[in-house]
Amino acid sequence: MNQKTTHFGYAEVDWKDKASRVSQVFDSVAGRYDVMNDLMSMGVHRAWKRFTVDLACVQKNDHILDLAAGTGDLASAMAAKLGPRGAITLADYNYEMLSRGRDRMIDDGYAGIATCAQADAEALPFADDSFDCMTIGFGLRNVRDKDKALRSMLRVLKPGGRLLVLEFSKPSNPLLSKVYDTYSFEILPRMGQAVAGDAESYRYLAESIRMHPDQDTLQGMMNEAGFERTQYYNLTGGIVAVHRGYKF
Amino acid sequence: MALLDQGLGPLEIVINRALNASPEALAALEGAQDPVALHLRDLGWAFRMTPVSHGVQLVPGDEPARAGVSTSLVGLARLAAGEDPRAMGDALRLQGDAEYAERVLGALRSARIDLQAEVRSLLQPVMGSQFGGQLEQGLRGLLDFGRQSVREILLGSSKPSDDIADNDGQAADPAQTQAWMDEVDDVAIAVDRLEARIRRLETPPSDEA
Repeated sequence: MNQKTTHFGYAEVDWKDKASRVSQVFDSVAGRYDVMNDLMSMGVHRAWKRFTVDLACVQKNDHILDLAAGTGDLASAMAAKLGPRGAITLADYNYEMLSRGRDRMIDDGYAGIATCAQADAEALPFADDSFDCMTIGFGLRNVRDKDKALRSMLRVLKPGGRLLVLEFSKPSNPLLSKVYDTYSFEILPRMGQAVAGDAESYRYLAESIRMHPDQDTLQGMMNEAGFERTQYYNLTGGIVAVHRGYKF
Repeated sequence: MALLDQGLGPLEIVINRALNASPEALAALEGAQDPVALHLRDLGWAFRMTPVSHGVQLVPGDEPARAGVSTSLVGLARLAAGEDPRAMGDALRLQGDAEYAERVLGALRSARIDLQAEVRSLLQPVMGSQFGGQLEQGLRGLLDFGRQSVREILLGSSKPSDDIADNDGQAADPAQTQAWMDEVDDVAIAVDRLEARIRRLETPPSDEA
């Protein structure tokens, strides 16, 4: 692909336009984001996130960065495992989503250990070797230059630290894949229209999932970026996968 | 190997949760960085367990490692329940650097993984407390059945007191014998924990909280 263009769902758009387009999508859905997640996944997204948090094995003194923190559900679950010397930073490109994440952390009682940063994953505004653990849940596929973002994540991770990427992926069963396709392209946009008043954003969601690298490709990208001992876990037949890599 | 791929994540979570609940167990892994290759003979599963800062990482694969452990699923469960690997005979075979393998396995052993409690905590948020509780009860029954079956196979008897001939009516009631054996187990566990705590008290305090 030409460096001047990138994918926005199935569409090829100007490189510099993608961030603002993605931002528009999340501005549009921020208010109903959690409700839509429950509806779209029939509640299973909670189990996916719980698995990710359990796998992260948060230590009470960890410094955590939750990228694409959105409404803060992953961050809140991890903050619950931190002690008073621990800290968690929520980062998101989109202000609307981040402000909802900040509100959740305050409401859940974690204001003392949580900070928020509106940040671009490709150029994280943190010092080298800052975090013990890093998560990005359903956010990597929206990043324009994933390789650059992975390198940036590696830079701010402490030696011995781990990155967990929770993201939609490729179902391993062809039958499940067909059912999933029908659901994504026929039902999801209608659901988005009915609940969030926005079919286009949910069409983008389905398209962006299809354009996201599959499990093995993403693992290769993490290796290429410099992560070690990388591996992934398929969840719900590969509809979602959790990738993990370490920095040593 | 799909089952192995699916099973390793939850297994790692369970092990790490137990390790993190036991500072002695986690401390025993400090400085250990090399993987231990594990082979579950009955399932044909091969994976590597590598100590990391927050516990262990389980990765599928049969690449050679500094140390290797070959056992069965029952052997692994016995180990997780706290049994001494040196007392397991052929049920557990060590290869390579046996001292290193014993060190890593010793950490698991001292963590004393409560499989039932771990399964409950993993399932309840997903399935609800009522169904999770029912599932745990079913699992508990299954484990009790398995434990009793193993005992019958090993001892050739369904109850320890069956082996005692009650010729003069002096032998203990089977239920009393079982209760006594359970109490002996409890005392053994308590002594292990006391030893671990004494070791910790004897260790100079570090600056870390």
